Amino acid sequence: MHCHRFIHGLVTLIVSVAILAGVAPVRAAEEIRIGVVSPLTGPTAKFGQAQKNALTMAADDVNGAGGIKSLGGTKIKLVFGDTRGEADIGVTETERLITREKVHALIGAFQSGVGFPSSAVAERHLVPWLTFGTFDKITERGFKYVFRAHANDTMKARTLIEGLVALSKRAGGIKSAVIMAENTEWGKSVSDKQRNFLEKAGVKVHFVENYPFAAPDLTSLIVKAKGTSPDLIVADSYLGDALLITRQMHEQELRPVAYAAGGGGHVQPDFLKGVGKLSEGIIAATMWDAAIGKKVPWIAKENDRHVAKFGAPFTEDSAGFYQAFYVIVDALERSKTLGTKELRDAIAATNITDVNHRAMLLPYTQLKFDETGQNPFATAVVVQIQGGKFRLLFPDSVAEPDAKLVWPYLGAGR
Amino acid sequence: MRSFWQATVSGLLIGGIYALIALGLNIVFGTMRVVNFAQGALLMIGMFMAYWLWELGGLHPYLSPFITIPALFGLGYLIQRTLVSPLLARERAREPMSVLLVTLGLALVLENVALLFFSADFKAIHTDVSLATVKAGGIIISVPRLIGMGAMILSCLALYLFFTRTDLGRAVRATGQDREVARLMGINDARIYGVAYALSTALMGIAAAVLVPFFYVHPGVGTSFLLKVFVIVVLGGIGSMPGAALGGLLVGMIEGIVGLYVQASAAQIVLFGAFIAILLVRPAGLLGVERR
Repeated sequence: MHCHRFIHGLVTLIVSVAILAGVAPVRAAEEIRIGVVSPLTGPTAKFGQAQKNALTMAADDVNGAGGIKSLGGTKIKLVFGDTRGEADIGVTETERLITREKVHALIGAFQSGVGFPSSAVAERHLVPWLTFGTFDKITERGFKYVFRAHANDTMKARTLIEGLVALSKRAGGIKSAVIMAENTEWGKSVSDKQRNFLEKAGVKVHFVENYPFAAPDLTSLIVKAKGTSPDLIVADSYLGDALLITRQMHEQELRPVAYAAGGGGHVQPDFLKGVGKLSEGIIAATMWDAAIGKKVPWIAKENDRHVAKFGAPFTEDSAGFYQAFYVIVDALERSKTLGTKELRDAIAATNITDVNHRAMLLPYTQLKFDETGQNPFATAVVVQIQGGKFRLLFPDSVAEPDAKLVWPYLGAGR
Repeated sequence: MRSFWQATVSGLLIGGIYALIALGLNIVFGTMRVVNFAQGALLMIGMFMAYWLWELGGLHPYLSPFITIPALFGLGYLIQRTLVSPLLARERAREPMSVLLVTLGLALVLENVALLFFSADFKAIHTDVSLATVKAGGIIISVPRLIGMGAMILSCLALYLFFTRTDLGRAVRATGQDREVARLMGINDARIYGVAYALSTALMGIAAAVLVPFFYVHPGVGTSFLLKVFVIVVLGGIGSMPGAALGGLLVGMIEGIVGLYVQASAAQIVLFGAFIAILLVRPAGLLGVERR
């Protein structure tokens, strides 16, 4: 009975507040629903939770500041779909978000392998999909509703090589390289691009080898590389093979002047733990690092707020989700309607150049989309592992003013 | 030329580890005529045990066998008595299919349990020996791999003595040669199978101890070794202990040399090509005895 009276009271309260505020109830019920396809549970749950944190903060900010103004202050509601890191679940969750939850736009899906098929579902239903995921082909299928504001694998490879070449010029340059890449689709395509960018920069690539990533021993590959005395080793590895290569390079006394990583294996905490000091001086490309805030003040403030709220800074991927959210917000302000076709057109017409725009958490000179849906101005940043932490060294526009380059790798014996 | 010897030696060293795992597979096969698909998963369990003993207890992986061997022996015995034995008793065939499938099922269960508790993350530890090397004649030898080779040779010797000098060991061999006759001689074959399975599982404790300092651990780690170990067992001779050792070393060496002159991926093609060729030409393997 108690409960009944409580609900009765609550309804009376809500109705009277609504009447007093003069809000038309139909208008208030309307909301913008943004679907988030991400791994909230499963082996990669910690990434999904970080993405959820960043997005929750962004949505609270927009709603707290009065919602979408061009839509009369309509609030945004995030609707989450948990992929558990698996492609088939990602597809069904995307389907559910579109057909049951009636979302107006989607962001997803962290792993390229999940985002690739899931974004195709969004395209089929004509609902805009903002990608987080670096696999080039996500935006190369002639789709009209799939967009990516951040760098793809090719752009990341280009930034890494540009950064390496620019940094090496401070210390005598690099003339030759060997690329070791794991032999799945990702390793093969990334190593191919790195070879092209290196050769364009005038660096001789002795050889590229795609090794089986679960190989228990890679001494032969290391010995072969050592035979060519390269200045630079580029490794495109997952975690296990990154550990193995780094340890066996040390064992076989392969000490290149520079050691660069194209992939995720070399920048994970377990890698640093597993190789200890051998990580000192490894150069890698990432899309976001908290040190960007040293040159761009609002990013430092935003990151501090994130740390205060959740106890951790943005991550590369959570920053990417945050960026995607603000691309949608920017488009909503311009589309002035909730039609997905109009929203899609507004996203396609995005043109942000102000570095203080929230969508520039990953800072570029410009944020707009080409006909494939990719932002051609997207870049990455180059970091170096120093004392088990990352220092941001390239490009100069965001480099840490007080960071010094560790060169050569490990203080190599030459 | 130095590269050649370096690749050969490094290949032999990792081959020693393969041999250790192959020995385990061969004990079960030699006794029960069952290919134990769970061997890789049991290795993975051993590796996680060694990993957590170091992470949580600070126990050096090389000391972990004192705990992991009894634990894995018990686990192996338990698996055999509760899962394998009832099926084996029901099967009339000499090479029971349902038992093979139950080991495959067990492998999947163990891997998924590990996935649930430890996640798919790769884990690695850094010990004082992880990066140690010695040089001999210009060849660089990784100390933890050398220790692995030593452990393999000692395990071979211990198994040899067990199988030839002890009653239990002889009973295991007798059961492997003919289950019915052994039973007629008064050997409790169900118990012998338990011992064989337990022994093979316990051996994974040694393999895990030598692997953990220089390798990494994740739920799928055993499976990546298992495929190669199948090749080794067929190459050396199914059920043959010296064959497993020889096969392991040979496979490691082939990987090393082909990896140097062609590439690591090509080594896999050569190995699995050899696997098919041996099955066609000499199904008993290099040191195996043709069975009727």
